[in-house]
Amino acid sequence: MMKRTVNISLLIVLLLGAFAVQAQDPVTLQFVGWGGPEEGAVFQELVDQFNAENPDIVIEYEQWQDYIAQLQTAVAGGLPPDIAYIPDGDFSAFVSRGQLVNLQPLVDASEVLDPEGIWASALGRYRWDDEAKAIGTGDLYAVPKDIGPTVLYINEDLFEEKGVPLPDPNVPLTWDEVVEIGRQITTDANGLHPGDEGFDRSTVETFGVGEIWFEIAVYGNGGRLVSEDGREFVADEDPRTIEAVQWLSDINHVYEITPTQQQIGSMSVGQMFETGRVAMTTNGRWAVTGYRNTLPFDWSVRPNPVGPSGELTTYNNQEDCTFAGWSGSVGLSIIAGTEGEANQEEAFRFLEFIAGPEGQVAQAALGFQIPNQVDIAETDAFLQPDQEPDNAEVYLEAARCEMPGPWTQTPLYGQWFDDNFWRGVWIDVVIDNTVLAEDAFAERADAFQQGLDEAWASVQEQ
Amino acid sequence: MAVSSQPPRSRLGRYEAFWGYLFIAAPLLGFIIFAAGPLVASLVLSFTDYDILTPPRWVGTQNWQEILGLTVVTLPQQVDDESGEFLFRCGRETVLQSEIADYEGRVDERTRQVMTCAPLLVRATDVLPDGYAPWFDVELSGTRYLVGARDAILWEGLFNTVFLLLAIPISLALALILALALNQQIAGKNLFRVVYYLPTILPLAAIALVWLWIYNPDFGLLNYLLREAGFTSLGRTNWLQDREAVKPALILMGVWSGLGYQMLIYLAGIQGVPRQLYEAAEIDGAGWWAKFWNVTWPALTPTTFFLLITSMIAGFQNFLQPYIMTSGGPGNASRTVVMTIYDNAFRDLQMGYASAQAWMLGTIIIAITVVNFLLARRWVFYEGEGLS
Repeated sequence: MMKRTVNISLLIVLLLGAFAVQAQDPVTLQFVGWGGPEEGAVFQELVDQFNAENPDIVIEYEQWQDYIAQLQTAVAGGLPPDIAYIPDGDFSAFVSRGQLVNLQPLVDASEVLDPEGIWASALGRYRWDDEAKAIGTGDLYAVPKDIGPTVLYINEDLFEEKGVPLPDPNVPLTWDEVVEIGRQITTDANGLHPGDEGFDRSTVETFGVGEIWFEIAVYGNGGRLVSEDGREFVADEDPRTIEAVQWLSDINHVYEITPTQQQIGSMSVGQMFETGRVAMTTNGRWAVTGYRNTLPFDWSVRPNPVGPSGELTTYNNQEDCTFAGWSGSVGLSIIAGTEGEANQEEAFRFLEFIAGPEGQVAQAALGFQIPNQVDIAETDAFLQPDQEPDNAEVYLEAARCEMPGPWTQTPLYGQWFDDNFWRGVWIDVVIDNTVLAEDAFAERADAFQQGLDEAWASVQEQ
Repeated sequence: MAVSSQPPRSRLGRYEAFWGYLFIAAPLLGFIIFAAGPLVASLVLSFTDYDILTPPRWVGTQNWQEILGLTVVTLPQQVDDESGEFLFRCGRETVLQSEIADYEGRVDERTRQVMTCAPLLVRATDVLPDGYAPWFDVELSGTRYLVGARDAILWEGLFNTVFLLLAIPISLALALILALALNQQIAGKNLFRVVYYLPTILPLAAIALVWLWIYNPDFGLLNYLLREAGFTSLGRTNWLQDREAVKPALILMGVWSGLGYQMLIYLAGIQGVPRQLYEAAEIDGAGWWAKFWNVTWPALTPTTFFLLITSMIAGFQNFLQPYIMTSGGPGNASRTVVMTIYDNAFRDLQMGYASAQAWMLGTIIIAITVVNFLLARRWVFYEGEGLS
């Protein structure tokens, strides 16, 4: 008797359980990204937490190698993931082909994500106006997973060793000051500096400047590469852009405060900074985690240097910025034509979780990036006052003021721009110093514009 | 065995033919499915605009016009609108001809460099038709000519590829010398044969990575040896990031990695030379040079021809090593045709255009191979022909 009761109740429990499962029937969604093992571990933890809190959804997380190529192949082959990292530079390529789900209605209805609280520059780069085929306006097709601004990293020990006072932590250096400091720190085997009689550049042991990234110099001098709508190539007519490129050549060939091409051939600028041979160099927020573990000297960050024009190119033309640069970001999207689109409310709940407060605090602890929400970025969760760099506030102004990289502003940037600039203007002006920046841009102005027109035409045809 | 033009009639003949066809069926099917099919498909695609993600769009001969668009213009010196004088560029200043004396040799205040003056030429963009980019310019009897191309990168890649073919005659000559040396009865000849052949069995990518270190300007083996040998300035060359040095550097590596295979083929060829020819030559009183020039070399011409043809076909498809070592840089100085095709196809997803480029390359290779075969009649001797 007793035994039968137990059996029957067991049966009932089992039946109920079966019904319960049937009623909920969890949605399984594939989520792909890339990154190192640390990022993988944090994301797996976030995914596990999300799955536990949302029994109706099962997120399956994977890290892919050679990410963009694999994602493109998966989409073209008809087996795309449901949710994917979309780096800002590739956003236009995916969205213009109709491969991303419009998230605007979901964002509008969201109680977790408040667009007002997210850095405008982080959100703006994931907007797309499908009617006008315009980037940067219209509806959101991705939400930012992060934002990684660029700043100037300095080796404090090297400043001290050369007897050069540290620059003010909050006031950007001018280009002239960069040159002056660079001269004092750049020292050859005989202790001579650039400009001294008998200075031998081939024996330089410590350099003032590693590199100032090209876009940082251009934006820091108020220059532009393309018009605001991304349709016109304007660098050839913008004296501030030309001045910036010429200055990058001059710090190498005239002021001689950077490593030569030959020296970079044996050791990258990054390695030179890490081994203490370079006093100042630009890099992104993503460098911090590695620097905390590896740099054998005291270091901190400074605002990016600003050019002599007195103007800055900032996001949305904000006026209360003291410096400029570019910030990188990776977005999270739902891929069109997948289970993720069919179950977009479930998929978006996961996006909200990662891009929302919970996911952002967990990622901020990693140190790779700035939380996409302004109020979290302003707390110790990000600023981490007990860790280097001690003046992390610099990143906050950077996140607010810096432009998205120029590769987010036009389609196929890696094609039309790289072919003409990195394999043309840059080599002639900055590497070889055989042509003036003004001439090099003018020489290729038509080719730049033609390539840009073709890039936009490819979007229009979709 | 003579080849019959009649179909085999006997039972045995049919039986053998059946098995014969069966044996060649596997490679034949493989060729049709994996080579002939894609070949035809890419020819069709070369007339389309195709990005994999959306269906191909027919564009007629547009891709081909883009590839074959070449033009030549002259680059005259710029003239000042007001005075009608020729313009010069001194340091960073644009200067009238009559003012040159004030600038030449002076020190620029800002750059602290001595100014030199050169004629200021008209800009390429002002003289090239729309859609053309400068490829290269040359001075011929006082006039500067500019060759422009619609796809200048492709043409530069073609030039680089042909330039890198210089590795072939060098390595063939060295391989022949090595093979002759290792055909002698010398101590440890098998060891040497193995050592010279080793690079052939190494993966190309591994070779590229090792040579990256050999070419390192400061710590590299090559520069170290050059400096030790007293070539101090040559020993500072940044081999892979200098526009002038990168192609010779790639040629040197190409010679090294191709040498072992070519040596092996030559060795086989040398050992196939009939002994009685040498004996006859010795009886006639021939020395080593006469024996080489009149016996060995003619007998080796088919081997040389085989090596030449196969190396040239492979050379036109040069891709992996420059791709790994330089990504085509600096600028486009080491960019090969196949690299351009690869970028168009897999970086820019322009499959139609890349197909057209691939067909252009294929056509060039076929044409050069045909020319090689025609020329071969003049210098290649096959056994049985009169060795005069």
